[in-house]
Amino acid sequence: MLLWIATFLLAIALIIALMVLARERTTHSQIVQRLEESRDRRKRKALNYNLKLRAVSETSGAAIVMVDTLGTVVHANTTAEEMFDIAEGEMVGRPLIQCTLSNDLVQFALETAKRGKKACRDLAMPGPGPRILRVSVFVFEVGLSGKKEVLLVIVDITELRRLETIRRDFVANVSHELRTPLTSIRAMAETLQDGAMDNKEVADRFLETIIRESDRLTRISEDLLVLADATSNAPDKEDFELATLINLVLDRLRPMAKERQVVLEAHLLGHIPVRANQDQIDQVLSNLVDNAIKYTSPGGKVFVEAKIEPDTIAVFVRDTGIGILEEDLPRIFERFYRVDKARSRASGGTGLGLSIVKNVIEAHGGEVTVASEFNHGSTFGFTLPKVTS
Amino acid sequence: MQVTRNQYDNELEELRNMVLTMGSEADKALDLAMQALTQRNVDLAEQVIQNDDVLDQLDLDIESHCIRILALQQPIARDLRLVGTAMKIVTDLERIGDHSVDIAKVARKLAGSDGHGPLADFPKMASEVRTMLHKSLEAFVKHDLSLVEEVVDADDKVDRMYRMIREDLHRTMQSSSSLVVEGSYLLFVAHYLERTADHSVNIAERVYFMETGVLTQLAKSHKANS
Repeated sequence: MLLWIATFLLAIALIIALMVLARERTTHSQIVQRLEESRDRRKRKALNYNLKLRAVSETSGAAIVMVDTLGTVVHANTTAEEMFDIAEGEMVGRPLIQCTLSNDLVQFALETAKRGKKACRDLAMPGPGPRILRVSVFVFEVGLSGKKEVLLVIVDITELRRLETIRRDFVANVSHELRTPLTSIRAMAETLQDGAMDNKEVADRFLETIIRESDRLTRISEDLLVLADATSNAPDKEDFELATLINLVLDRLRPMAKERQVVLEAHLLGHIPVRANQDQIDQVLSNLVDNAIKYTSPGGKVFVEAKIEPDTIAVFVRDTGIGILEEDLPRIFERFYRVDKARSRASGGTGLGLSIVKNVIEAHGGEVTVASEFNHGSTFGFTLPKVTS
Repeated sequence: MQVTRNQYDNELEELRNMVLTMGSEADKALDLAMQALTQRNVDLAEQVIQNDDVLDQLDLDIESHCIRILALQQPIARDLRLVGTAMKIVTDLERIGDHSVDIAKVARKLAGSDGHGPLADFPKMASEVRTMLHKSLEAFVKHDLSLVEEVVDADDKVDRMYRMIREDLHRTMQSSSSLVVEGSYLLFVAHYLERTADHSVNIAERVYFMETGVLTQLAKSHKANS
């Protein structure tokens, strides 16, 4: 009997042991499976994170470079490769100085790494022309080892700097251009008030000056409005005949040319259809022809030509005038830039004429060109898109 | 053996980096000196004069580094040409630094006077010269012989600009005796810029030697029969 009971209990114990073993085995394989799943999830997450980082790096618009504390590049995005003219994938593993040729940039990165704080600086780069880069440097630790890496985010701000200079000059110039006639008007008015009114001859001269200066202020404000309109609004286009418009402008300016003994000629194709803002193109033509007449000596010639080219319509205004010095050419389209300040003001110019020409034509999708030889004359040209049927 | 080899490679890499560092400093000196001249800025001129010590020190450091490599590693073939090239290039870079200091000293002297016409051509000539220097260093690091060719070609352009500026200055000085002092200083500046262009050509010629093993004078102005 006892043997039976012992055998029975042993069998039960064996069954329980087998059940426990089987369960443990299941638990163990489940744990292994869960661990594998977790590892895969982490891998996928890391991969996704890397992809996201790469996407951010590639689409940020800035050049992104990571270097170690010795100055060797460990990561560079496409913008960085383009910025420093290095072939794809060639930056990684190379010293930063070999990629940028700028010791200032390298020193800034390494000094910031030593200090361990983020920093930002504008640096002039070696090579042709002024090239300014805004470099932001961040230092961070990689993993748990305490090893540091340096992240450089670089943006080319050369164009921004140029525009800042133009804006600063513009504000200073507007202020100067408005203040000069206002000062003159006020001085004349005060002198009249102080008794000059009683002297008719003096009073007439002063009043003439006041009217002339007021007209000048009006012209400046009108030109500023035209300029503001051309730069902020898309041109309100209509179809018209360019040759007709050119003839209208020339007829309007012919008396002035005759007075200055300048021959005004034109060579126009019969039919030049354009689609543009007629008032603005009228102003462009007037400004160019008016300038050409003003800066051509008596006996000289102003010649207007318009032709249809394969992709565009091209207009040229040539003169045999005093021409423009080579160093002035890049700046003549800037607002209030005057090659000969005294002469320009005396001839009634606002200093905005060529700026209006450039902005109006560019708003129409065209281009403005200038070629000039000092003392031999200038040729201003502009293009307009061809009308497609 | 591997360790020695790695150390050798690292030393050559370090040599390249030191040459480029010196090139960058020489370019900066020239840029600042020209800014000092055109803006009549005494502070910038002083900065260039003081920073010349950095270039002089780099010159000595690079030469020492080259001698150490020659003595301890006995480089051959291409590596030997690199070390030889570096030793020659630093002399040219050091001279460019000296010319920048000379220009800065002129800028300091002229700081009180107003600029006149011919000065307008100096920035253009300086920009052309800096382009040559930049390209010669780029050729050194990129092993690019087409850049060597561009540097050599640009030398003719700089020579033409030099002649034009010189003639302009002569005319200016003849037209007004009050401009003779300033004009004579500016003649020196034009000369320093022209010499800097020649040093850039020297660097390009050394890069040509480093890459091809052929020692030759590529620029017309460097050839005895021109």
